[in-house]
Amino acid sequence: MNTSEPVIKIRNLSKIYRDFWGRPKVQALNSLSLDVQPGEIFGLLGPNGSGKTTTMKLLLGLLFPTAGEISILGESASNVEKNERIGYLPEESYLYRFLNADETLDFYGRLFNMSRAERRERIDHYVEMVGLGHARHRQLKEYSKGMTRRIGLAQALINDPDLVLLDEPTTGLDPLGTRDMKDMILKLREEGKTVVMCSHLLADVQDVCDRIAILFEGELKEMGRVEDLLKEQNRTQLMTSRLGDDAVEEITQVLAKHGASLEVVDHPTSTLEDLFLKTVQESRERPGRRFVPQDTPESPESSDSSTPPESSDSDASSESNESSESEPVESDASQKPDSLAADSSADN
Amino acid sequence: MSFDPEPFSFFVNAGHWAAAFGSFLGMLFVLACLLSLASRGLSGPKLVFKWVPRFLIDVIRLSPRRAIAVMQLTFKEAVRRKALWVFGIFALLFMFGSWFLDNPNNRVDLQVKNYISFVLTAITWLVLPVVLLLSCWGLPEDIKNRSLHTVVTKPIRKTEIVIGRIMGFSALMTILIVIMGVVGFFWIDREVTYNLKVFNELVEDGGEEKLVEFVEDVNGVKVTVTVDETPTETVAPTLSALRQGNPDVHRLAELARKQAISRYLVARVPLHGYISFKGQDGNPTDRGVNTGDLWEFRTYIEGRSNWRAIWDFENVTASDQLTLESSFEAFRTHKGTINQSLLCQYVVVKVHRVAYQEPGGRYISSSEVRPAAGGRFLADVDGNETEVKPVPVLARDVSVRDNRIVLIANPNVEVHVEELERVPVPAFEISEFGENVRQIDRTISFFDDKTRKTVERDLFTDLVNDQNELRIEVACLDQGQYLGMARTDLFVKLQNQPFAKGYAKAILGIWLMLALVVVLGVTASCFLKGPIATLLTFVFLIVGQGFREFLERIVGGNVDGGGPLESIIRIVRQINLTDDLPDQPFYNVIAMIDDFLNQGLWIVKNVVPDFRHFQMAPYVANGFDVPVAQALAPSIAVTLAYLIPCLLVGYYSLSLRELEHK
Repeated sequence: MNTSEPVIKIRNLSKIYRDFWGRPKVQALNSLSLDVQPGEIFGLLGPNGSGKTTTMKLLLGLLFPTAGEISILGESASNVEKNERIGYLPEESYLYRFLNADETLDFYGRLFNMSRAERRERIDHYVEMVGLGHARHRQLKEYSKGMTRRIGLAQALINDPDLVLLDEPTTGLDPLGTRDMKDMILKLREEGKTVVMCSHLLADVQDVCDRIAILFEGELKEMGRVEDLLKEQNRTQLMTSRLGDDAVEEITQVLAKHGASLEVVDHPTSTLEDLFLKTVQESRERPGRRFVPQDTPESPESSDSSTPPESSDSDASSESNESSESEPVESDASQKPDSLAADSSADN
Repeated sequence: MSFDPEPFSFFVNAGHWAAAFGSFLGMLFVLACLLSLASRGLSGPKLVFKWVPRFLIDVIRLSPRRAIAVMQLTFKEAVRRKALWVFGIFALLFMFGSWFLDNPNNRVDLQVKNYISFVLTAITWLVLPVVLLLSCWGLPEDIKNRSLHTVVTKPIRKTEIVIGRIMGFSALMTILIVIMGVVGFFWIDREVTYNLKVFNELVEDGGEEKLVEFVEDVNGVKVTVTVDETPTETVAPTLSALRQGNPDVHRLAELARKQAISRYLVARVPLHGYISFKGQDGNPTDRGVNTGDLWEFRTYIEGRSNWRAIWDFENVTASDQLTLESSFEAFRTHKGTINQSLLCQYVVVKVHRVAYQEPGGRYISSSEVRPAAGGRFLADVDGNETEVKPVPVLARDVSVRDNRIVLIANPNVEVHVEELERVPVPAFEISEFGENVRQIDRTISFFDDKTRKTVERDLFTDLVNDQNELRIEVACLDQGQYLGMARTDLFVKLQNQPFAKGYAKAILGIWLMLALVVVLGVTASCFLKGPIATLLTFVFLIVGQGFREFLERIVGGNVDGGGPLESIIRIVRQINLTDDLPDQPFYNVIAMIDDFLNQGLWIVKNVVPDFRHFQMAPYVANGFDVPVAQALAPSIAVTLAYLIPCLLVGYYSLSLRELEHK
């Protein structure tokens, strides 16, 4: 795979859960398109049921898309060989609770066809890295939730993956554990790995993610670099040295007159929590509004033929097309890239 | 004994398997194409075509390390789920089982039969629920707990998961069976030793033969040792007192006991022959007289008449003597002589059996062949007089039809069978409730009616024909009495095998059966939830074992009362099972629907494995070795035959299902 190629390429991905009789039950994802670039930490945000975990599971081949196309590390999501370079930390650390830490890592190491010596070396390394050296011979059923998350991360890294998928990585961790986890995620980026994480904990996402995507009811509502998204473009922030009380009162008119130097002129940033709540609120108020990445083709490409049963095919793609048409996107391509397609004056 | 002595033909059965498996795959493929066509239009079948080779790719790229990792995980999981607690039940059964099994009034051979049956049945029914539940619940629990999700996001193939699971449960089952089998073996030996209170044995000690008669009862122990017709009696209050007081006698008694045990714990090896009958008119027939017994396993020959039962044994090899063992059933039309069993006689016959073949290779019926000068044979073939050649035919290739001996492959061709020599051996009284062992010495002397002289014949050089076949003709000598016989009721007894060998084979039979249960259970668990997978596998087991014969009779149309609809109508309208239904359109439609339903049952019959093959306990319990060709080979074949299709179903079930489907 070319290094400049996106690690994950999702185009017009839709997922409909059906009942026993094949009738549509829930539309979990609707024409999702996004790219994840090599070496970045990408966050998937959204309220419960927004389709974050569904996206993650579609990437891993645990679910099959109803329509659309997924390319992960240049391979189809249904290709087993792609897993050689992927590490996955599930939401609840679904591990075998009757195994101890060493046995757990040994088992997953063997699934990567590692030799005994290599497994032994990596087990020692990762057990120490996640701080479970003191509990490596205890069964996982005796572990606290935080310890389970740590061993979960160790198993996700056992193969030294290029791409790490983390589903709610900080859930259940205490503040110290959360800090450690975030440090480990940042360290992964330093090592050149790509990380995709989904989380409810916005502060954590804000701390570690380079780019984020906000999903709501299966649709992509916002995507971009964290600092760009948090900038309030229609406001200006002045940062000065310490001023006296009088000066503060008259600051707007007499800044220069009082001889204070102007150090920073910038747009103020809100918090990710504010952005998230605002996006969700707007999505509720205006259901048709959607974010469309600029390089996404308007008409879906033909499906990946090797994708399993529910995989996209021409019919399924046309289905996605129809759904796009039935819900016209309020996009204005002339606006800046990776920007909200709806009018930004709404922020005012 | 009612074991099928027909050897398992690998090639014939492999052909059947290939045909059945091919049909199964074909049906599956067509069904998948139709379903995908309905759900996805024209691109559906294309997708099916793309998925077909993936199984082969997965099998080719299978990694033993990953499969073994799953196997070890499965094993650990089962052990930590307390699967080994079954040993507790096993220990309880064996600690207290003898309370209910020991019966001093029973014959020792029947007691031994009880012990062996108990051990083998206990092992089967203790391990069966364990492996059934574990194999059916393992994967569904993993899916439910989502621990499988973490596994399948690693580069593991679905075939490795299925194979690893099967290997893991099989490993656990192997350990359970081996430990139980070994414990069971020593338990049987101990029980038999303990229960052997009376025995008479001729033992060889110090170069001379000694008859040891041993009796142990409430009065104590009495051992009589007879050497050169001089008996010496030793009495002791207990066995340990005998050991302390008369160590030599005790040693002899123990030697005799071991010898007695080896007679009861034995694996006899039978050489079965092919049975036919000779009727009152002297003509061949395939069945004897029916004495009114509903169970038609045995048919009868009438005493002091021309009725004869004939066994043709193949592959008879020379030795010092020929041992024949029989278990004929007597049917008395009158009480006869009290205190005397029925008299039976064997006649050893040398036969010459040929079919005639014309130069073109076609067989000609022997009735159309006439001898010509120069030892030639002629027949009219297509209007021309043609020379035909006699070709030796084996007993296995012929059968009796309409009082003629014909080729099985071509029943229109009559075979020429000539009795070259008949040598009677002395008559004997049969034991009506047990086995009769008769030994015929290699050299037989008899009075020849034709030459009016006593002549001698060597059993193996004079009476076994060029195809190494020997015929034994059986007659009943008591007028008005009948002897019932089936094919397995007379056999040549070959060298006995150690009991442990037969027992080990029976254990292997249990292992094969449970391995098949594991294969079916794991496969079912790939697409069904635990309880349903358990139910399905259990139904396979019960139908394949207990209802297989009934199923075959229904499918073969050999059950009175018709199919399901016809049966309902007969019940509702109270029509007798044997009465024909009226020839009316309504009933004709019912018969057609029943025929259609019957086809469904035909599929069920061919899908459900024949678990009867795995029943090897009766061989061992009745003192026989488990024959490889007749019992072990079909069991191995059945297990292997289901392995590949099950793997295929398991692979596609796991690959095509969404593990996370809501």
